[in-house]
Amino acid sequence: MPDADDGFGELWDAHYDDVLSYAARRVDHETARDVAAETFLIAWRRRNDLPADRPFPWLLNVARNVLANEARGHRRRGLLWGRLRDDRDRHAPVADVATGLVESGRIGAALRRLSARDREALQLVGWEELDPKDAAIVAGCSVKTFSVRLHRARRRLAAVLAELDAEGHRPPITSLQGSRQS
Amino acid sequence: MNEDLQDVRRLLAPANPVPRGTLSGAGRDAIGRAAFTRVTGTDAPATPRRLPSRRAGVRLVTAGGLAVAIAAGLTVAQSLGGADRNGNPRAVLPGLPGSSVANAQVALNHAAGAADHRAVTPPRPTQWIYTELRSASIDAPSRGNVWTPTSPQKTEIDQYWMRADGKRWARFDHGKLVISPTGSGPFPNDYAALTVLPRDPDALLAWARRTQTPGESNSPDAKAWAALTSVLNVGVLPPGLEAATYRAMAKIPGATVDKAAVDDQGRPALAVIESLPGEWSANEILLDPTTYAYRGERLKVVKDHRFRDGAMIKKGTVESLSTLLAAGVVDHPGQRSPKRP
Repeated sequence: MPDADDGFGELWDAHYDDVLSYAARRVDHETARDVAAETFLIAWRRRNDLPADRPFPWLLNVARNVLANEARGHRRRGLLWGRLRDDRDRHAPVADVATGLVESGRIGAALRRLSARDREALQLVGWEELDPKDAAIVAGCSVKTFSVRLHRARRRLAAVLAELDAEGHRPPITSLQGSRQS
Repeated sequence: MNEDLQDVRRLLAPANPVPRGTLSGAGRDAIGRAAFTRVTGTDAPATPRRLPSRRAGVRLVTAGGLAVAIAAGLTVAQSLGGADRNGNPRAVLPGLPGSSVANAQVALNHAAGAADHRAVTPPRPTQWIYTELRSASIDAPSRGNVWTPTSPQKTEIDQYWMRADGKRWARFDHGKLVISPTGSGPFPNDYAALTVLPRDPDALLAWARRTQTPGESNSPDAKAWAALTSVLNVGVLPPGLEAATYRAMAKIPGATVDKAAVDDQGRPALAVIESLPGEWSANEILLDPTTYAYRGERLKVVKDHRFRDGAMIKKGTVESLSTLLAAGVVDHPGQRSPKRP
């Protein structure tokens, strides 16, 4: 991006897509755009304090807080919020904070049964492909704490998957992506 | 540890809703470029200015303007007086209309009158507004795809602090108090941003109709209702704004009133219901039937509805609700204000 000072344009080019992806995995696309813009607005205001060597986990930590702020509004609006929103969203619908995550399939069903903390640890590693050092910055804890969280979350995921298989569980249609209001 | 990482990546990859690379180039597409211009067009860090939200143009406010607005609010409140030592509004109220509530307009105007009499002590810019909300919504059904009025609900308590100047907010994250900078959310949800909203009901309604509301239909009335309800959910409002909000709501056509409503705790409540023609759900706000104090909102299904994927939702189901449990001004994040009656 031209016209930016302090290397902010490079920061944008290097990380906007990934910050947007992080948000889009957790909320609908339009909200994700807002979350990405807010994250970079905060980064812009604090551009003198940015950790120059590894800004990405710092940006995701900011995005995580922005998302938490957004999520309050989403929760207020309940389950149908995501359905109604999906109905009008031209973009591919993605995971939604309001309904609990709505990714399809057995893994999605298992993730929904885990605690928010377990889900976060698994997703930062599994989706954002962060290593524990960076994931710890995003989650706001020590590397050691994160590693313990991840290890436990992985164990619990395995247990829930076994549980689901024993139940012969098939995720309800209503919680799948792409549900549409008639 | 490394084994954990590989294993988790392999397991989660198929469920990744946005695989790596899906959004490549988004930072340079039209929306990305516009966002870049907005972000870098704001002031230097020393004198931050809010990001003008795509949704709420009213949020474009300079820091100096905020200070003036807050000071102006203070003057108004001082002349009204009547808050208790903690800055919480005293119980209402002289001249509360005791007459029956004939229709939604009358109910909302009574609520506005009651709000006019409620004293507000504006917070200082560095004070915090504590809000505690209980939200409940129907959960994904475990069996079948039918929701009924007795479907289990998932309840969550939200406790958060928003600094009065709107620049910081705080919450407990796994037991640890986390204070974060704010960006500019879809609605003005901090005291400073709310201060600049118009107190004239027509102007406030015009603002609410312009405000883009996530998930609402494109009907200006539905958008306006949602935006105005959002204002009420903030809990501590600048002088005159709560009354103006009710008066603006009274101007939205189609609202009805249910005098025999019951809230989620089984208490009698006055419900003002916004139901749009042809819609299968209706938005309700719940007021205390005696003091007209705002209690919360809910989305109720007013006729059976079948979704395109076959799922059914039955008439009478409360799809989601939110109850304002506490709201007040405190000096530090982490401090709680007393629960509402």
